[in-house]
Amino acid sequence: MSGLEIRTRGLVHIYHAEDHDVAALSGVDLDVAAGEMVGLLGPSGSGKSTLMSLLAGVLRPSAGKVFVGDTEVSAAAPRRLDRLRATEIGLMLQGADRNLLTHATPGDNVRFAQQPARRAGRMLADPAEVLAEVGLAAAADRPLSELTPGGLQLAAVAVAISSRPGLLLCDEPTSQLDHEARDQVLAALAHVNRTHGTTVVLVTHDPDVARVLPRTVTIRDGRIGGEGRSGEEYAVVTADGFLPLPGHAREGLPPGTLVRVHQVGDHYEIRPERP
Amino acid sequence: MGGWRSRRAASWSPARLAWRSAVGHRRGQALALVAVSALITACTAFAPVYDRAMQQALVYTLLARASPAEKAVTVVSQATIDAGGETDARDPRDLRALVPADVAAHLEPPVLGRTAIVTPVAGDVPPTGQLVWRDGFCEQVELVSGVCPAAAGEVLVSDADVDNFGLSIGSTRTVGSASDSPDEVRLEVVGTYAASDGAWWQGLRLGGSSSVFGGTDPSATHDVWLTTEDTFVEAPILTGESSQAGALVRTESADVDEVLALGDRLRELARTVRAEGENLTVDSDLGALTDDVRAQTAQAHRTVPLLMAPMAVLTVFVLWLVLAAATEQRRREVAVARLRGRGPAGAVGLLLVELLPLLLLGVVPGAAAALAGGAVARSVLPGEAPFEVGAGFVASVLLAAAVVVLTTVAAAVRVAREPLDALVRRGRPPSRRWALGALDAFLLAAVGTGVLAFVTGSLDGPLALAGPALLALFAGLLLAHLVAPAATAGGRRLLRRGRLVSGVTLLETGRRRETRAVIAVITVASALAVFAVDAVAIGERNRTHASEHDAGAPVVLRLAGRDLVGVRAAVSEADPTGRRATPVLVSGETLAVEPDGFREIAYFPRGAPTDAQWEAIAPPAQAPVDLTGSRFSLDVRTGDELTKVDALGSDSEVALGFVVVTDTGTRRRIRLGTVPQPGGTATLTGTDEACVSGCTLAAVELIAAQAVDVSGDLELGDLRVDGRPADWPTAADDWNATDAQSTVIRPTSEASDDALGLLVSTNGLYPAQLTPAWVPDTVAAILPAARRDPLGLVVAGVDGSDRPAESVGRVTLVPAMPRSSALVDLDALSRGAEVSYDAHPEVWLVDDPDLLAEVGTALRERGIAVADLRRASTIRQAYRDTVATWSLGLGAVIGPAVVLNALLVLLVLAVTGWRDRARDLAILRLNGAGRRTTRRLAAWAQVPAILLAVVTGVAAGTVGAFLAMPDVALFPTVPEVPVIDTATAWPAVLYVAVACLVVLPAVAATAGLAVARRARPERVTETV
Repeated sequence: MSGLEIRTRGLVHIYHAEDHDVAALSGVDLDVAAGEMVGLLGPSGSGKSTLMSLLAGVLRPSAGKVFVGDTEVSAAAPRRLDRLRATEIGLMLQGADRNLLTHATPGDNVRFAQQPARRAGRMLADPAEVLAEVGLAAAADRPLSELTPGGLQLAAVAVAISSRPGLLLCDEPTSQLDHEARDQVLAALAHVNRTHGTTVVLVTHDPDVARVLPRTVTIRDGRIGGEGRSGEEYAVVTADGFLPLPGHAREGLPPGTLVRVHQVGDHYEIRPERP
Repeated sequence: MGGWRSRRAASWSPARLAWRSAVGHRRGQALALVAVSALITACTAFAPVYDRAMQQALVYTLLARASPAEKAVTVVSQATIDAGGETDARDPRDLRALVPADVAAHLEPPVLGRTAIVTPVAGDVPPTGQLVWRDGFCEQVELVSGVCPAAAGEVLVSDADVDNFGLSIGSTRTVGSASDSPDEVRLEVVGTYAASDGAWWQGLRLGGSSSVFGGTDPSATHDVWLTTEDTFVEAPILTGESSQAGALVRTESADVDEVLALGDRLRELARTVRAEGENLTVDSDLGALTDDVRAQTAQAHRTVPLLMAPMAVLTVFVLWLVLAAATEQRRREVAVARLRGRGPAGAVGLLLVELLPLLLLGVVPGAAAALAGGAVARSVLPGEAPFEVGAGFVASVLLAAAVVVLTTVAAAVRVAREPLDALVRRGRPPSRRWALGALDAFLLAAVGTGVLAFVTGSLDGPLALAGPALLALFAGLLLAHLVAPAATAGGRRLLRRGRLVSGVTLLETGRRRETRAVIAVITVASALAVFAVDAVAIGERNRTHASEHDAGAPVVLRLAGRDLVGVRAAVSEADPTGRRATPVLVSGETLAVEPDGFREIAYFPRGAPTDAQWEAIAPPAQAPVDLTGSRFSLDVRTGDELTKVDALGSDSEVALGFVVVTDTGTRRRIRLGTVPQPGGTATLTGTDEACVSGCTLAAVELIAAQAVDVSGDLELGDLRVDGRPADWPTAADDWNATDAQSTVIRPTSEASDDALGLLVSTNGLYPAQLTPAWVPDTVAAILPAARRDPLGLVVAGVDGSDRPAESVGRVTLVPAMPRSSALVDLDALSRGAEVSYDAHPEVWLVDDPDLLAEVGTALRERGIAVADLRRASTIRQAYRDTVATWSLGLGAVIGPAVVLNALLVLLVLAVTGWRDRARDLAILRLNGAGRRTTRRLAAWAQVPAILLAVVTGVAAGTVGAFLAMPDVALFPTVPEVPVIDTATAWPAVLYVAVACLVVLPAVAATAGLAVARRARPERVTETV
């Protein structure tokens, strides 16, 4: 299966706590092209994991729409969402153990993950080949408890890609890994992206990881706070015309500052009004 | 990439994965699942197995306890003589043919016979008794002398008859027929036999009846006279003549189904036979036996569910807890499955594939345990019931399996249907607020309503039996919901005061999710254990009460005849102390006793009379008037105003006499002569040789023709016996004034010193008597609490007459007597009276074989036969061998079993939650808490909740038993007297309470310490 594109429009998600509500996302417009590999960056609590859950159909948005390929995930019926996760969306939660059957071998985990897709008529690779693809061929029948943290993360990647999804969503796939393991995991993800055209969206805090990604999207306060492409940082104008300022600009433009926006040639200038 | 091609993965095995997860990864939990499933199955399947074993044991017991007569099935044809003519009894062979083959198959070979009542036509006191032929009887008796009868008219008699009636071989007696015809039957004694009461005679008592009783109404009975069939065939119809074919029910292989079916067939046979002729009947007590079996089985169907159902519910609740813990532990697997596209149904399947095989595996040992329990029950219960796997057992096993499956599905669905975002979340956020869920509120409301109805008595019948379980559940649920906020508040307060361990312990109690489950389960388990054991103890106490009441004393000999004097002499000889054997006289519903000995020997299971009450029933202290001799004289002086006129106004004759009682207890009259004319004096005399060996004065009587009025004064004095002056009481207090509506005889103090002055006013009813004060005018009686006498209290005298009485106190039960009985002093009741056939003497004694033999010998020497012997131990065993007892006996198993259930819950929660708790303790250690502190925290973690739950459970169980026990069948039939005492058996309650208070906290503390040992710092980061 080739990669799936992602489109979100005005995505809002509010968590209802016992005595107050928390807006995790406050209007996210995001487009990811099919076959892209995108990193989601941002501080803790900015809404990255929430966005991943919304993309995977684990959560339903409070408002806005999510499209994965031709499917409006935000409005899909539960059965349709199950089928999507079985065949087209691979989700890797943060922490390898949360993605694996702890009492099963990597091979069994892959087999287990492939079952729904096979029932749906999908032609899938043998588990050994899937594991070989992430470099775990030799550990196919070993207990998970014998794997290193990196090996566990690779097993989780193998499980997530076992049904050859068009979209692979990975939440912090490299956290708590040493450099070697981190690089192995990134290499595996890049291989999947490159070889199968799978769209890959991963959440990371690691600047080293962000640096190697072709595109990064920074989530800040529940909104798209900026984008990075090929090492360059950009602010992103939202569909309704908002422009989140990049971090360094915020220091000089505290909240409440009045600015004037002037077109100067082919670019725009933001000039604060000094009292 | 060339790999995406296969629709089937190689060697994929969900079962293998499930096995590895369940058994390889969670071995302890797997064992718990198997154990709980086995427990549920065992509880469910044991009920019908035990029920069946009880039924079999009941049939065995009833048949074993039944006398040959009660086990006999007899087709009887009665000879009749009426206006339509005479109808002979049918040939016994024809009667045998009336029994269908399917009925006969359950019976021993029938014995044919004929029976009649015969009385010789000649003799002073001709004895009456049975004349009997049984086919083949000569082989069933011991021929002592002579030959067995071979021809018509020949009879065998007993040795006792030889002694009592002067019979010998060759003696002849002529007996009359039943009709008015002059035909008579000549019987000739051709031999003597020794009686045998073997089963072959089917309850016919050959000997023991031969006796002669003299007195004012002499009578005699002879033992069975055995003769040939020809005697009956050739003779006219004899009194009460009948023919019969009787057989005993086969008991060696009788099972409950056969006996019940046979009972039904016999009822049917009785109808069929009756239709063949009015004089045909089927005599059998088997119908009563089968009714008893059905009634007791119905009782078991109330009591067994009462005890088993709460335990089954508790066990299902435990299963739910175990499954909830097991499925909770598998949230991650469920989340993984849902993430990979399996829907809730697929996740349920994943859980079921893993859990169900283990649970269904547990059904097998559970069923085996039920059968093993049945085998144990059969070995403990009477009889040798066969091993059975009945339909009830199979249905119960299937029911248990269904319950296990449904509970598992419910538990799996509960987790699998959670929203995916909740499943993938790390951990479950603890609720910080106290909240009552809708289900909890509904449960509390429903159970609370039931409890309210139970406590106010609105529940009755079988529903009332659910009361204790409802009460326990209500207490458990309520406490479970109250403890969390209370413990949290208490913990905070303690922490503020610097009490670290106790404060954290209470905070933990309030915070932990399993606290509610632990409290609910332990409260219910403690309550059920207390109820079950309390019920067992109450049942045992009441059986003891009932058997002691029914028996009256350890051993009671019921005696033939009415020779009270002889009985008292025999007892006195056998037990000079009077403290180990005592004579008793039962007259109607009056029990006359010698208090000093009786109070030592008799049972008073619900409270004995006080010393004051015993003293109050003592007879009057006055001495009797001794009339030992044969000639008696008494001076009589009449007042000038004395009148004695008949209805026409003519002067009439009035005589004076003594009523005496001989030293053998016979009451006699001695006529002294005619009262002189007014103002006259005379010495009246009378004789009675029967008083040579001793007589006492029972009354002085005036005798006149009916309707004669006597009015005036009399003086009686100078009593002489055989010419010698005798003591003659003259004080007014020495006599009982007679003051009835038609008769007044009142002692006065106006007579001369040596005479008794009497004011007499009688108007027509004679004899008019004046009794000495030695004979109590009113009998003092101790009465049962339930007796009511709105028309005035009377007790039955030894002669069967009503005697005025007064109540001097109450006891709950008078030994061996019904609810309207009376306990009186034997002397008080028997003074001046003769024992009639309305009364019978007994000897009550302690259970000592030597004493029993001595009493028996002493009685035999006086010609007193023992008609019956009853032992308290035998009666107690009879009460024990009832379904009511065996049903309640389940409590002895259920009590420990429910505690075991509670232990299982504690262990399961420890097994399933130890990682989390170990991690919490490890964090505490990282934060500076010492090992000793964490050990104390771990040990005490659940103890406060458990202690509180046990105390609440014990209270709920005690109250539940107090309210429900009156509705529990403790006996096969409701006793007529208030033997039942359902007061709390406090020793049993305390025993259970202490056991629960020690065992449950100890296990929880031990499990906590085991967790504490695993609280190593590396646990803090443990994931896989």
